[in-house]
Amino acid sequence: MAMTTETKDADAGASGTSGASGARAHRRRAARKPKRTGRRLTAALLLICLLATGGGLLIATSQLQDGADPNNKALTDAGATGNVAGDVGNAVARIFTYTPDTLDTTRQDAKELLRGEAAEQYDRLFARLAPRVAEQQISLTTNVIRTGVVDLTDTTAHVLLFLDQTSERKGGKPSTAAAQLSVTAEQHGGTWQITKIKAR
Amino acid sequence: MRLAFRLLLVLSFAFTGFAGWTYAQARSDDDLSFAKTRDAALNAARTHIATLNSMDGERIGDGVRRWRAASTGALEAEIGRNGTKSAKVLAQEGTTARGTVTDAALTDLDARAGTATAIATVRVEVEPRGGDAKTDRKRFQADLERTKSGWKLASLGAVAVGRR
Repeated sequence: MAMTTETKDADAGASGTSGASGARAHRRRAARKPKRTGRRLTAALLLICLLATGGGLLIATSQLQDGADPNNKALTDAGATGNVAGDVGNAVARIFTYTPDTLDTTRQDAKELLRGEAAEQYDRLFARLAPRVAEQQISLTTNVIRTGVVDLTDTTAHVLLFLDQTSERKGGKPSTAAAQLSVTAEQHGGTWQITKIKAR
Repeated sequence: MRLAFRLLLVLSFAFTGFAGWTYAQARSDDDLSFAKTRDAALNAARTHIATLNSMDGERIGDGVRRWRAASTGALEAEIGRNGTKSAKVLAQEGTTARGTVTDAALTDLDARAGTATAIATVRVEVEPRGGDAKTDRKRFQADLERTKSGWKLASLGAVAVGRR
């Protein structure tokens, strides 16, 4: 009995001491734990909110830009649009206007105003045309009656032109025909040069 | 682990800041909103000019309805007035036309007033009932107006030779 009591006491004592210190430690941990979980939860929520807001803003931005080409300066930059329309219009009028006497000038102009594919195309046309122009005394006058800039960046442009072309043979009656051209132009050293011509 | 989390948090702040900045830029960009208006008007011009150059010879009623849906103001009224009359002629002829806009540009745009002018080149395949198809090339100028249901054609006319 005594032994058991003793043991019990000892047990109780032992468990008492360990219980007391354990409880203190537990209280400390218990006090720290909700604080830390709370902070972690807040941080995680903050992170989610930040990512969601950022993502939402990016989606909203792409929706704002949707359906618009922000790099195309046609009409948004009125000055540049007017310049390219004027330059390309003048170029087209000059290279498709000639008389038997001014054919050489026209060809010189074309060398300055055309480049690449358009230059090759024009050379082929000119080679076919030049003998007939001299022989039949043909002259051609091209008037640009409408110009629309479809696409425009700092260095490239796509322009649609409506033309009236009047041709006349010596001694004949002049006849006027409609022509439409889609022209691609590139800017080199401050001047626009035509690189592609497509009849529409 | 905690360092990684903090880094993540800092990066998220940076990301959100960047997203906010790009949004603010896009929002306050007048050119962008003008460009958007321009592209909407040009797209509408292309679609509607093709529509008004197209007609299914066997379904004239549908065709005229599409013409009216593509137009507004004076042009819509004109189609409404002449619709039934020309529909009869078209139904008798049974000609089918398919218009394709090969190129188009706006020559003028007033985003505030909601008006624009467009030019377009069109290839029209015309197929008479039981006949051979032939292809025409045409050029048009159109006035557009912004309506509640988008940009519509207020006028459409061929740009004739010799008329500046």
